[in-house]
Amino acid sequence: MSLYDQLHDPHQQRVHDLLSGGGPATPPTLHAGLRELRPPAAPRRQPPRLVLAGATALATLAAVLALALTAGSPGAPTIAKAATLATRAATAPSPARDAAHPTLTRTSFAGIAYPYWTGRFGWRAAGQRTDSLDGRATRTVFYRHTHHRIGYTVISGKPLKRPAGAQRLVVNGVEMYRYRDGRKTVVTFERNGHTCVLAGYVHFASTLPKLAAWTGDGAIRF
Amino acid sequence: MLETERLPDHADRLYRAAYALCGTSHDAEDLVQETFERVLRRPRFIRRDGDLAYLLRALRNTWIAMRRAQASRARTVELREEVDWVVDHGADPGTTALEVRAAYGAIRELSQPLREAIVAVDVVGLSYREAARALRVREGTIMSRLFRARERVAAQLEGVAA
Repeated sequence: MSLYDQLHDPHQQRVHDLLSGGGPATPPTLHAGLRELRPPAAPRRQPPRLVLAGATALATLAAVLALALTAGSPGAPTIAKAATLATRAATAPSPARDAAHPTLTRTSFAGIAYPYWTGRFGWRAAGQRTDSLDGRATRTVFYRHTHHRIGYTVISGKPLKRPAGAQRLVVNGVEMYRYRDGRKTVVTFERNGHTCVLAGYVHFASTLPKLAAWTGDGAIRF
Repeated sequence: MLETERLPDHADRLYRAAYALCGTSHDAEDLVQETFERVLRRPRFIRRDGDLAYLLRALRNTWIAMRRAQASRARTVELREEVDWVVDHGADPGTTALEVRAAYGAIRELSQPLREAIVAVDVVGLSYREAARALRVREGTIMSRLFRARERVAAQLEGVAA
């Protein structure tokens, strides 16, 4: 009997039928994430050298003027500044799990409880810190998973301006903005009218949106 | 050119393939997302009917890169799996979700070459020729690996040591 015939005997076909006739259901978060993916924009045409030199001179002048005008003033808090907190050291111990709400930690800030991700995603709380960011109070809780570390920062007060050029995502109905800052991934979203920033070095671009959109069995509201 | 708006149409097949390769839903989800992002970053000219084979090759390459990255560090946390198992419309009437789950579980016990062959043909639905192209091996090699892979999965399902 040829190999081709052997592959079509009932014994072999049964395995084929099982594997081609069903499988694990695709998670809705994956469908949502894929719908938001877009090909990167085509590179722009190179402008002539003279135009480029003029533009560079103008940009330099604008930067110098901006620095002169803002020197000594605290400036406005931005997502980019908040994201830098994710790479700083923890100054307080890790928050414990909330026994009454197992998907939350016992730490909250500005009325926002920090999620407990260990059971669902494997990310463990790894310390926290509080800062003042251009006059706004912030709290950052750090999480670790294998050798990755991320920070979850909540900024008190009104929501911050959206980062320019960030990719808009809607995951599980949660609107968020994602961008890369070098090797660091930054995702920002709102909870209870406050800006939250998740930032850190992660292997997959989908990790932070997935964590940000997690509702913790209904305990986390947006 | 690969039609990017059609990519999500392949999500279900690719997710099943990713699950069969990785063995966990979290890794499978990340793997599919990462694969699609890589494909979008470097679009290629491919035949319209060659989408799936191309995506499977991209998925496999991403999976290998992911395994290399993970090999350098020990996994300390076991994630709780929450997977829904489904039987498709048009599947063999005798098929149950429990059997499908057991078959996917048996794939995890296979060596990488056998696992890749059975994923390409039985999970993704490629022809022997397409699978051979996607995995860069000869068609005869695919058939022989597929035969052995199915034998072992069948033995696992029957509770007989392979």
